Amino acid sequence: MTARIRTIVTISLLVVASWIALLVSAFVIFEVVIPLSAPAGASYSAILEYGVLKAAMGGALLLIWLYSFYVLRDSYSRITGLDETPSSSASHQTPDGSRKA
Amino acid sequence: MWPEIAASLLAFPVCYLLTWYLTRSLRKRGMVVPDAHKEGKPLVPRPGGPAILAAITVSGGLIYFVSGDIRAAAFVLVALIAGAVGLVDDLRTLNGPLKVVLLFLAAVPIIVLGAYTPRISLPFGASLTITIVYPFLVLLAIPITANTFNMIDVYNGLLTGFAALAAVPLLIAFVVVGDWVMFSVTVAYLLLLAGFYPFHMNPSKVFPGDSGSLALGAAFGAIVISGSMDLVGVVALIPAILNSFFVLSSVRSFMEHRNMKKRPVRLRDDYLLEASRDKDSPMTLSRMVLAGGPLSEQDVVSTIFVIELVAVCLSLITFIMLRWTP
Repeated sequence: MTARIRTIVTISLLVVASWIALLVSAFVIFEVVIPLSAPAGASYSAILEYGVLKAAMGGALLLIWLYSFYVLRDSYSRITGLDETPSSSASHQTPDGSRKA
Repeated sequence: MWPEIAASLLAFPVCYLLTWYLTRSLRKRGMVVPDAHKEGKPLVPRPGGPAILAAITVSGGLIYFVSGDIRAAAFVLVALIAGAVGLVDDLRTLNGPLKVVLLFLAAVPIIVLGAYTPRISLPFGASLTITIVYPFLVLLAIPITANTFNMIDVYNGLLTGFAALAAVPLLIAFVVVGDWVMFSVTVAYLLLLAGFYPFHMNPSKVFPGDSGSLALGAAFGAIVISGSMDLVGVVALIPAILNSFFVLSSVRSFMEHRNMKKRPVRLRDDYLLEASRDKDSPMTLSRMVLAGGPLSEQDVVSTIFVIELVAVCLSLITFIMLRWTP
């Protein structure tokens, strides 16, 4: 297998992994978030709390999907030897982006 | 159905002829930029975006005129606002964050005209109705698609080829659901790309500039939202979304690529592109593609097209899953 085909396969796997993560998020929204509803006869504040909870859970799932991009990027960097700073060790940078001594 | 399709056909001649005209008039006016990846860095006219905007306005406007469907009007207005922001950037250079803020305005026509259905279709026939939250998602989606397209516009022919491939699953989906207005809008989008591509392909005779890339991205977002193809559109754009996210997470700000201190890719003396091995270089899709070894610009573009084809297939599988009810 030439290096180019290997690259295409590896990045395609990255795309497929991202797609699966998106579908899993959609599945969790459908199975867990959508069925959440305030009990019959609940007060307005309880209905509002459930609404906020559903929105927060949906937002959290979206953030998890985005976080999976970090994981995918770091995995790709490790596999291909591209020396991108892993997100997990970005703390060695100062706030202005320069390197600590 | 037929009048809308006939109106969409105008996109090709309008875009082709205006781009042909722009290649000459921009060069005469000295509006040229160097093509950094070529021997001798030849000067290429920019921006070709006004030709794209004109094609969208003429064909989209006619589709609206014959169908009366507000979604076609929203498609035109979204592209025009994003294109105007891009044109200002092409002529005067806007800073990254300001450009992002201005692009929120491009989403306004969809919300004001009500050219959306506040429901996200999920796999296996499920759907999520979010009447209050959806307009906010629209407000976010248009700047995201516009910037995503803008960030992938780094090589000859990449943006236009990528946009055309990404629009194919939408075209098929609109045929299946029988949404002929959005089908016509997508045909117009593909035909204007077909009119622009002969000038943008390697070696480029014109660059679309930010006016072209932002308009194409925002118009794609408008098609996805107005056509209720949210998940199908997102999946078709996964390689570009990954590219944007990797860049943003690397540079940690909305930075123009011309302002990046460390380049993700290096041009060798033999004019092959090579991935930078510098730890501080931003991660981009092209740097990832070049991780396997140096390639010519054309090979990088064709490799990204193959990766996009994978996303197109996944997008079609997603559409089948949305339609399939167990």
